[in-house]
Amino acid sequence: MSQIDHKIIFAGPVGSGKTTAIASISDIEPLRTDEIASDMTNSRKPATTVAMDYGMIRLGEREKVHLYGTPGQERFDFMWDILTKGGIGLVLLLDNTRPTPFQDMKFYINAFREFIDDTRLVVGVTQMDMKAMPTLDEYIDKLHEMDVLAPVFEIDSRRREDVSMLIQALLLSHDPGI
Amino acid sequence: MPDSRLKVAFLSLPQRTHAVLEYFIASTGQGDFVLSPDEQQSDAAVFDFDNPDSRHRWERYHAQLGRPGILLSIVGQQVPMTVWVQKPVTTGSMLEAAARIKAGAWCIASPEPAVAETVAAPKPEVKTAPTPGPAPTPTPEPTPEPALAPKREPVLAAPVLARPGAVSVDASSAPVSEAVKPVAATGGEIALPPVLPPAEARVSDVQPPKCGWLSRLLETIFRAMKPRVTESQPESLPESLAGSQPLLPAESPALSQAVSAPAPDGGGVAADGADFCPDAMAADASGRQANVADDNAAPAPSAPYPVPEASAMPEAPAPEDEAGSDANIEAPPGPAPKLKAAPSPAEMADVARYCGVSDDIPAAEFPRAADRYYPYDRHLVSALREAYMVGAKWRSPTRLDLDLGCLIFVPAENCAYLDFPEEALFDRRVVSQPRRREVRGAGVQELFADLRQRLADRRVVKQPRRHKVRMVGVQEFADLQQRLASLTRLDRFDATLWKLGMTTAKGRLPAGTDVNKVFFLKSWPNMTRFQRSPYSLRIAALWATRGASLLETARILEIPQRYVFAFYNAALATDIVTDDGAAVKRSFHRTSRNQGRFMNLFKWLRG
Repeated sequence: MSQIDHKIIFAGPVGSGKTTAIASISDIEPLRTDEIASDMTNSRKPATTVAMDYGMIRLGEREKVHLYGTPGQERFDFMWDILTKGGIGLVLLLDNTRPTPFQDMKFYINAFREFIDDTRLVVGVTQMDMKAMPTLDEYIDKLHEMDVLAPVFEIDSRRREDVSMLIQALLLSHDPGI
Repeated sequence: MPDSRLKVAFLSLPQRTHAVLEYFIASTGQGDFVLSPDEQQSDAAVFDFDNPDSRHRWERYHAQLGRPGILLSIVGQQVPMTVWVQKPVTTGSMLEAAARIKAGAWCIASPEPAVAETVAAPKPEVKTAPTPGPAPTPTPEPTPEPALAPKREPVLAAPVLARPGAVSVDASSAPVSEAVKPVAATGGEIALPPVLPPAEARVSDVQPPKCGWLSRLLETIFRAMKPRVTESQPESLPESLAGSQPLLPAESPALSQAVSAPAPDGGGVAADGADFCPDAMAADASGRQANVADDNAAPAPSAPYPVPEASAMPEAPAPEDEAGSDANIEAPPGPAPKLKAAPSPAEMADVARYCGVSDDIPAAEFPRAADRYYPYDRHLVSALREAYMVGAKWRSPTRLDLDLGCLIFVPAENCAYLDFPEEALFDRRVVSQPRRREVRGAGVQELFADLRQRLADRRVVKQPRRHKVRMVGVQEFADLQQRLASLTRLDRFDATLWKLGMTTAKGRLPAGTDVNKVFFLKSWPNMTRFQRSPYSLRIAALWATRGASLLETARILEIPQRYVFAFYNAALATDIVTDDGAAVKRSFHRTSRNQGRFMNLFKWLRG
């Protein structure tokens, strides 16, 4: 019997919670390629992903969902095309405490535009408990300006149910009748 | 200038490990490592101790060339002339290993058993030698070299194995050959450690064996960690990294066909992040059988194997066949999924509270079914919605004066300030009937005279009502700041509206709603924070991707009408529902080609 593999990509700026989100949903200990941050990243966190994060959801013996987290820094953008190949959708995580979260969102949507157009997008906004503004409505408005209609949820990357809900929305966007 | 980088040869590393390390050497590690395609030219080898092939190749390599190696393993190993790097590997641990190899600070032969280290670091039995040599001299040096003591990285790749202060090394323990035997059973790849064993059996919790029974216990634990060998292909990196085929295979028509129709829902409750589908768990409060479980529903595909949380996993039995396993990433499939327990009375009461208990009725009966409608304008939710919409539209605080008090909605923070208890919103759902202006019998002149007088008085021409929405100016809002501190702050006002919309309606519809009108979502509701009603996520997906009428939604998703109505009321209250589908059609002009392929994953996510 052939193996069935799905692939979901987690993207977003540094510190948005990609690594944590993958860890919270993966049923294996995720692979991380963290390195001590040597640039401005270290003002937000001591270590950062340099290659990718990898987690997996095992759905029986022949079906797996591979979860790939892209490195947040733009200089690693060469990894993005590599990682998105064959993916079923993009989970874009945005940190609400960053100075310009809308710019982050626009940047990543433009960077992954082709992939999003071919698949689906869900947006998870993290750290809203630390900073309530901007609100989800404002994210939604900005998405509409980009002609994108995607689920935008407030999430805590550490909470499995939040990450699960994001992925469920991604899947249902493909097929509401699942 | 001579190349000081460490030339390493990879010895039959698992595919993923190989690719990751290759990437590492080409990027972060390029200043310290160089990959040598020829073992003969290498300064050291990198091998995976948990992989039998890799381990055997190391033995040959070492016997033939006598050069040191970097040993990758989940648990601490003491193999002569090696530096242990704990899996999953971090760049920091690899760089440190390179430094140790260059310094000749590798492990020497030791009678120590393999024990779990508390930190991702080489074993304490090291000897610093000026130059690497094929025959290191065993020197009992029980303490680690301070200069080479591993630094603890802030984010370590494998925190699972780390437990502070757990290791004490007993020099009189079992010989290394005995100790490594159980460890070898873990077998596998660097990148993906097996699913965690039960908490009590984690390696980090294991003390070094001091006697025979402890050693056997340790062996049993390690054997329990040994995953089941499957016939599936080994894990692979992204194809571009690993040079393999794309991960997403061509769609399987059979599978797609099998799961394309809505399947019976296995239930799930909101608390676990699942779409709330009580009807699939049991007959609902009214005794109605869930129509999602009817015979027309397509059979669900083979049940997935949800892997339970590590702490809840039962202790795995020792595998019967350990031979040839290099697939430690393949943890044993979890137990067959249990059937969802029937919803509790409290859950059913919640469903009834939000969705009512009415049975479905045919479309033709709706115009005559007065009990299916309620006077929306007379309910508090309509006033709150008005304040919410005005505030959201003009991005300005709005003030709503009700007979039960004042509410100030601040859209920028999605919060509201109340000078009455929050519970009153739910207790007092009906607002007073607006006073109707009596014009009957009044002459035209009299009416216009009245209007002129009102304009002259700068009074609001609009019909006065008991509740009043008005925008709060910047200065007024600034003046209000001190007062706001004394008011009840209601965060996530949209979530309150969402819930109030459902509890007000109880599965009914606002008067005048056309059940055959197609609705779309302007945006998805914030389902991670909003009260979830049964099937709300599915309805949201349907309305956000293609739109459907209320009755059509119930029919397509094969769910009771009242769940659709509940969602509609909530969406109406938060102003995310529309009959204009232009935005939806623009965004989803392409039909997904993956329909039905994600059934298993969806069920897994729903627990």
